[in-house]
Amino acid sequence: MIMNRIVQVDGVISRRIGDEIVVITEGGTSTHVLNKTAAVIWELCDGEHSLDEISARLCERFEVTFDEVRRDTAEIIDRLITIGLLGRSEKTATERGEGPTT
Amino acid sequence: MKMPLKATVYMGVPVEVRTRTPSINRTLDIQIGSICCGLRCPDDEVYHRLRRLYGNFLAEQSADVTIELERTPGWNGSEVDDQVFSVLRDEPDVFVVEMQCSPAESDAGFRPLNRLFYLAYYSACLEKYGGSLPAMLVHACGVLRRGRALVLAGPSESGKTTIAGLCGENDGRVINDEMVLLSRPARDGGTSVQSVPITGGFPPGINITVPLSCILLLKKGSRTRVKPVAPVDAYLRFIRQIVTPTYLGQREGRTAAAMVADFSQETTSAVPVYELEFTLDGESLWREIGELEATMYGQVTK
Repeated sequence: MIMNRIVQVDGVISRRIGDEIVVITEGGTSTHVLNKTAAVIWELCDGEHSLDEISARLCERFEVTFDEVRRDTAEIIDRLITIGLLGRSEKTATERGEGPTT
Repeated sequence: MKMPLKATVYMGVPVEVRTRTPSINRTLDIQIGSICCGLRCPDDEVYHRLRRLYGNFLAEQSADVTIELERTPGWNGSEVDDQVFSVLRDEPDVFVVEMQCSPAESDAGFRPLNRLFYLAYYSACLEKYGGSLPAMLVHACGVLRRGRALVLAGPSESGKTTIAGLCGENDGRVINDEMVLLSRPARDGGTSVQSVPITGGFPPGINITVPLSCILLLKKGSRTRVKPVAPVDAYLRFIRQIVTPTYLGQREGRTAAAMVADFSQETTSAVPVYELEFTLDGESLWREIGELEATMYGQVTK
């Protein structure tokens, strides 16, 4: 089975402002503010991490069960995919010849 | 009176411009931040009017970019807009732009030159500094008070010109009611404000570079008050007031957007940002600002 990796869509710009992250779509047509949790997820959506790996990393930061974190993370990722900020890739960033984004 | 003008923009000062009718010098060398823009006028009338308008910004250095204005009788283009600014001649470093000024409507009739200046400024900066701009243009009213500049930022109709009109002799001195140049914050967080030859509701004001006091994001309201702004809110509201770098002959959307994003992040994290809600009561406006300055500098300023 090919494990999907989550990637930030090409052309979006993100900047961390304190605990939050502001994401600006290509051409500046829309702006989204990600709260602390979504900001951590966003930074891990670098093409190197799967949903399970992102959830595991979040478990280290927040005192919640893996299943809870996984469910919430999947929901946030789905929402970010729906609004066009994230996409899925079958290859890792390294396999695509890109370095992981920070 | 409409005055259709064709503007040919040359990066640097090409020989063909330097040697044309050398006995008649109708070129104004205008300072826009660290850039010198040679503005070559078509006739004495335009030359003298623009010399009066931009008189505080005349520079004595060689031009980084030259704009040659020519009258184009018979051209019935609309008021200047993005379409009018299409590049008509596709030669390296030479760009032709058509525009229409209305000088009979006082100096404000030369406002179409504003956009030409943004383009010239950013294009010359790209040549001079590469991808790293030393300063960016911001939609704001700049007011000089006690050796520092307040930057009152906001979009059209937010009250920049109103604030300038409420600024009496004892309140401060208006630097520009439409736009200022803001430098990138230095390592110690210091940022400077520089006036620009941009025509807003008032002609371009004094030519000065001073340290920034703070940024006030304008909001028309039913009372006058200053309140702090959360970092994300400051970032999002300030970023919209930065004039996005656009270059003659090219569109680099993503690079320009990233520069604006970085500039907003650097600036709003380095300098104090407040929201200024205000009415048409100038007395309470400057009293409120004076109290803010007192909290920042420990003394009451007028």
